[in-house]
Amino acid sequence: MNDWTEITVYMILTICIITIACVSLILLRSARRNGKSVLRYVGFLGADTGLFILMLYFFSTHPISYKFNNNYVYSHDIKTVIERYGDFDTGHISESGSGVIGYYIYTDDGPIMPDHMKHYYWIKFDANGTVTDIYDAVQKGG
Amino acid sequence: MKRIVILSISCICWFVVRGLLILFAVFLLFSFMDSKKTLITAENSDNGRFSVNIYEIGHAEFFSANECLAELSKDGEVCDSCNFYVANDGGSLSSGNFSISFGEDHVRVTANGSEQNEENHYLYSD
Repeated sequence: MNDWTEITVYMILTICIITIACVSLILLRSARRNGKSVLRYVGFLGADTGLFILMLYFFSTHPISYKFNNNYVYSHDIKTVIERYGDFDTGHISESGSGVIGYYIYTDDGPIMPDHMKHYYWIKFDANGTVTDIYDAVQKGG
Repeated sequence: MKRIVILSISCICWFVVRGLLILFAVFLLFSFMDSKKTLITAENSDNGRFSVNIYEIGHAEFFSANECLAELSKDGEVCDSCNFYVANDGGSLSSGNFSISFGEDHVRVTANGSEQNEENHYLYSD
């Protein structure tokens, strides 16, 4: 999924959540005024808040791509990461065990200043297999 | 019917007056939480021992400056880093925004943007 598509999905979800919250609050106020039960609307509002917190959590743990959880990658060694996400698309592992590997995430064909290049989720790790750095970049050499 | 119309109008009013404010606040929250690290440029010294990587952190909000991180590595280990901003009218950064020169005991990273003068940042290997 393109970077721009991902941002658009987050924005649409945010607008939906805010709209649900606004409508729930209006219905809640109207129910209170009419002396009806407000439990249903409080439930809606609670579920909506929960959804929003979940979305923020997902956004903070998947800052580069929705496919890759940065927290998981940082807290596991490279072998476990490769087991979970499959064979890498580019990169190398040196004889000492350190290296940098990349998983293809998207091609930048976005609407504003696209570079039309393939972007990879790069994972850098040391000789012990501990992940030291994660970043988004194009293939080395362009 | 009258009730539905009133309800719909109040919904629209709610969204326009308060919803947009909330949306703006949420957008700022997203920007604050955005920790995406994008490699902009990387350069190695002539002897191959030192390398400098420059990353963009998150995305620029509207037309504001881009947050950058420059990291100096010695034999593959990060030994110095510095954070700075590049005012580039909110546009994406490229390797053309930076020039890197390796000195004897330091590395000079020169950043330039469409809305700022050239700015030097120094990284030291010791």
